[in-house]
Amino acid sequence: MSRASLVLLAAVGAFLYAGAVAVILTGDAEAAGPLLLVAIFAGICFVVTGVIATARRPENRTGPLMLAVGYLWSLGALQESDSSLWFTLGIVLGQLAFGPFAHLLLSFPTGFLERRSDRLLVIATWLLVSLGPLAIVLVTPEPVSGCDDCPENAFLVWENESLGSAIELVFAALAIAIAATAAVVLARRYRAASPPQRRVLAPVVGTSVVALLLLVVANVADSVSESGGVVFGLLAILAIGLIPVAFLLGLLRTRLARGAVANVVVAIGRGTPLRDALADALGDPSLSLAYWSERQGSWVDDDGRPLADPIADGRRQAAFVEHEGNRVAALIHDASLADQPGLIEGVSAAVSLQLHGEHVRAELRSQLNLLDTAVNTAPSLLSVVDPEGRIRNFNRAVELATGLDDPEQIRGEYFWNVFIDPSEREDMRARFGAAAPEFAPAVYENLFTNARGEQLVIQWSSAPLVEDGRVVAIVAGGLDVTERKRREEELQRERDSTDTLVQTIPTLIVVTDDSGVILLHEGRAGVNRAFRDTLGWTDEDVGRRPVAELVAPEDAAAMREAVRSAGAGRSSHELESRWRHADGRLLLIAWSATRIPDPSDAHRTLVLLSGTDVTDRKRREQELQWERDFANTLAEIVPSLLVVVEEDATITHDGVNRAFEDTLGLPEPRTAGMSFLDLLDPEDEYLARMAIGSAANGVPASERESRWRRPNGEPVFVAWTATPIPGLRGKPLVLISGVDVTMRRRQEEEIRASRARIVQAADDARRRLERNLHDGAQQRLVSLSLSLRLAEAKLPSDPEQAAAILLAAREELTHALDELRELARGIHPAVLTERGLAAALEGVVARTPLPVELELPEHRLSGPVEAAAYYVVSEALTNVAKYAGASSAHVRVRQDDELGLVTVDVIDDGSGGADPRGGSGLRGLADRIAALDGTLDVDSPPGEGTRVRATIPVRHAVPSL
Amino acid sequence: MPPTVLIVDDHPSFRASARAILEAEGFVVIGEAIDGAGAILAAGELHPDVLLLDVQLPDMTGFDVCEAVCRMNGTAPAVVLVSSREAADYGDLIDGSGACGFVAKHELSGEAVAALLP
Repeated sequence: MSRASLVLLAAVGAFLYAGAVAVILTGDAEAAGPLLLVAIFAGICFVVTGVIATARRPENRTGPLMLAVGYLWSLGALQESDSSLWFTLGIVLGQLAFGPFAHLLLSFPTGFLERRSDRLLVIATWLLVSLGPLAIVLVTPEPVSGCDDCPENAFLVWENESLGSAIELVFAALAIAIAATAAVVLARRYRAASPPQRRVLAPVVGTSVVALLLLVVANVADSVSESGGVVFGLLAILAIGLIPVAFLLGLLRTRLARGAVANVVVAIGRGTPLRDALADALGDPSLSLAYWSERQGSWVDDDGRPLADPIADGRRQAAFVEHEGNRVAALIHDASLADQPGLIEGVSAAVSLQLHGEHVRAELRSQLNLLDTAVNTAPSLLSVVDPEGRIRNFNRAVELATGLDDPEQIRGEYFWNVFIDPSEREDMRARFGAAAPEFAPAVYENLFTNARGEQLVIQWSSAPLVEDGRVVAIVAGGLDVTERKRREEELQRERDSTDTLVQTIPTLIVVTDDSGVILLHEGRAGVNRAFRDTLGWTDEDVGRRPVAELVAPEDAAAMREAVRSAGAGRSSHELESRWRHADGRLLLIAWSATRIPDPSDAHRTLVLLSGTDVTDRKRREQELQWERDFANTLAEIVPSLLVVVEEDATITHDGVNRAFEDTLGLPEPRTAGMSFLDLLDPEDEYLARMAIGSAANGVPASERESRWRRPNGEPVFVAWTATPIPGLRGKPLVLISGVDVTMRRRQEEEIRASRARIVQAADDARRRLERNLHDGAQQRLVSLSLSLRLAEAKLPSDPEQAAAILLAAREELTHALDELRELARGIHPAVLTERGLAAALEGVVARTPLPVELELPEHRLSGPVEAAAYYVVSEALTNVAKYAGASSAHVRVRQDDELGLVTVDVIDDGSGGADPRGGSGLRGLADRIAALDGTLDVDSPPGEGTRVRATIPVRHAVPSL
Repeated sequence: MPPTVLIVDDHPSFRASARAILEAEGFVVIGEAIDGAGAILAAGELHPDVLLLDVQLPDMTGFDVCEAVCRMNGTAPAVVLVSSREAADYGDLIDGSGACGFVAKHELSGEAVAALLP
């Protein structure tokens, strides 16, 4: 704001109030008085303070608002004019000054109405002070009550006393309400303000609230008593006039505060702390100081501790202090102090040197703090030892390491008493003495047992601290490497045990790089003892050699591929390769390859080949396989029926042999899972189940015969046993081993039938003999007996007839004798026993009615054989004579000693076509020959004669029938 | 009047001997039969007083013939069984046969037969 403008503003005010005074003086002087004087004074105060405020705070609206109040206030003087028009205008416009006045109060100190309620209140005030008096003058003939000499109301349009009174009442009520509200708002604002704000607010708000309350009271009093209204009105206007004075006082206070700069300097000189001195000077007890730390790049407090950033916020503002162009500090003060930048600047400038000093100290303190923290939080042990060997200083890590509870036990103590085990103390002391006076930098490792009994390994490094060419202390830094040592030792032990393991296990181990070349490290190849022992190679033989060269050439490619693949991270399956022994043999080794990390180089991988010599195992497997094959073949070719069943008689898979399949007509695939019991005749099932159950429990069952059935129902007689055999997975199995005895049974039945026939034949022969005796010789002898008795009776009386009877009797007797002789020969030819087969057969031939050629052995045969041959020839020749119609026959009996056989042939040239089964004679002969283990064959093709041949073995003993 | 006899036996020599012995001792032999069937027919025609009946006949036994002949009303002959075997060989067959007696063949005589007649 230019000086000219300010002068102009002041001039306008001067003109207005000059005019006002002129109006008052020209008017009725009686009406003037103290009230007018006070009012003029108040108005001028507003104008003057308005100009000053505008000059000092051109950006703030407070100044213009004060001017507005001052200017408008002067219009009220028109009421004192004698002219009716000016008088009436004075009444209408006389209240307008309260519009900007309300604005001024409610917007103090910023000049802005920040709240909506404030703005509404200001608008209401404006409406009330502009429209209210106008409404009153339009209907009230005497707008100023009790003023008889006042000019006429120039604006009266409709005289209405009661309406005028009502409007006046409403105007007064609204004015009271607004004034009271404004007072309350200001009071509240004051309460909510910070102390510096209050200092600014206090005079203005105080006078304003008093003035407003007085206005209210004056309005109320006016309606009660005229004189009271005048008194309170006077007081109110006086109070209003004091408002700009109050503001002026505030300004004066600010100006006076500049004097505080000097006080600050004096206070500091007296030793008052800097902050306290500044807080006093600036009137802000909450003031705090911040120092810029270049090292930390942040603001720190007095003690060098970092402050939160930003250091200022809405309520607290920072004023920065520079020293020689560098920012060194900040005053953090209440936001209201920002209204007085000059004050802060002045004060800051006065103390900038001190602030700089404080800044440096804060920086140092900050560094020390950092160092202290670093030293005490570092894991390293730090200690300072004087040239005598006493510990002078140490950090927290040292305290912890010594295991001593009280740090004072360490301070001043010889370091060897703290860090060196008793047995080595003297030695250490000597070495320390020897290092004097240079105490050259050294590094050493130290194992000791601390106060808590913990064994620690500390790695120390020390260096002398030299001042003026003299060693004043030795600084030693230590690192607790106990844990690291322990891990190293553990790792070593682990490596040792792994190595022992690798060297002692029977598995062959080869370690190669990822290209399959066997490692060689310090003369030791990457192979273990099992490898060397099994394959006979030495470390020199195999070190740095591709492992694939150690196998037969045909297996090398597969090995290279497996190793390459393992190197790429895909472990191989187990392979079997022929590995070369140093002596040239090939051993079959089952092995696999896996990638392993290289312990000495994390970026490299190795391949581990581990294998087992399976040469012997393979051979044993082959042997076992051969035995298995042999057993299978045996089982397949033996004539016994073999069935392997489970405990519940279920036939196992592949559990029958060929003999079983062939005999029962059941091929293997159909038997698996089938129950063995289903093969049996239901009658035999129970006992078979018991036998299998007993065998499954380990008790072999004795042989039994059962009827097994083919699928077509045909029975097969089998003599079988059940034997427990070891099964897989502990499941008991039972081997049923059987022999097909169907044929034997049939033979036995035939033998039984043959025996029965022989018995029958003998019975028949005896019956025939009895019959022949009875019918033949016996009848003749009975007749003879009767004849003799008759002859005896006739003899005395008729001797001739008696003689004739005796003659007949003699003939009868001759016949009887013939018949008996014939009968005896039929029973057994005596000639056979006494004179042999040849003589007997000659008799037979003699009785045969056709020519027979005899061809007989020269020596005698055994009795039964001769008898059999005799009866064969005799019966056959009888048949020839009876049925064959032959012209001749040929009988041949031969003994073949080589074959041990006697053959009897009876051949004829008859019609043939004989039925060998027909006739009991032939069957009897067959039984007789069978009893000698021989056979009887009849070959009789029709028209070609008949040949009957008996073949009798002579080697065997003849079984007794 | 001497008793009439019918001789039944399949052996001609025995029939001849028996006729000679029985006629010599006063019996009148009125016929002979060689088997069971012939015996039954002859007995029906000739009505003999005595039937001398061999036990063993070719077509049936003497017991069968005896049973058939004994059923003849009023004219049934007295049956005397004969055999070359002992009576004991036939057990109680002889007693239950309805015959009036048994004579072994070699002991045959007119006196033995007469002794058995009722």
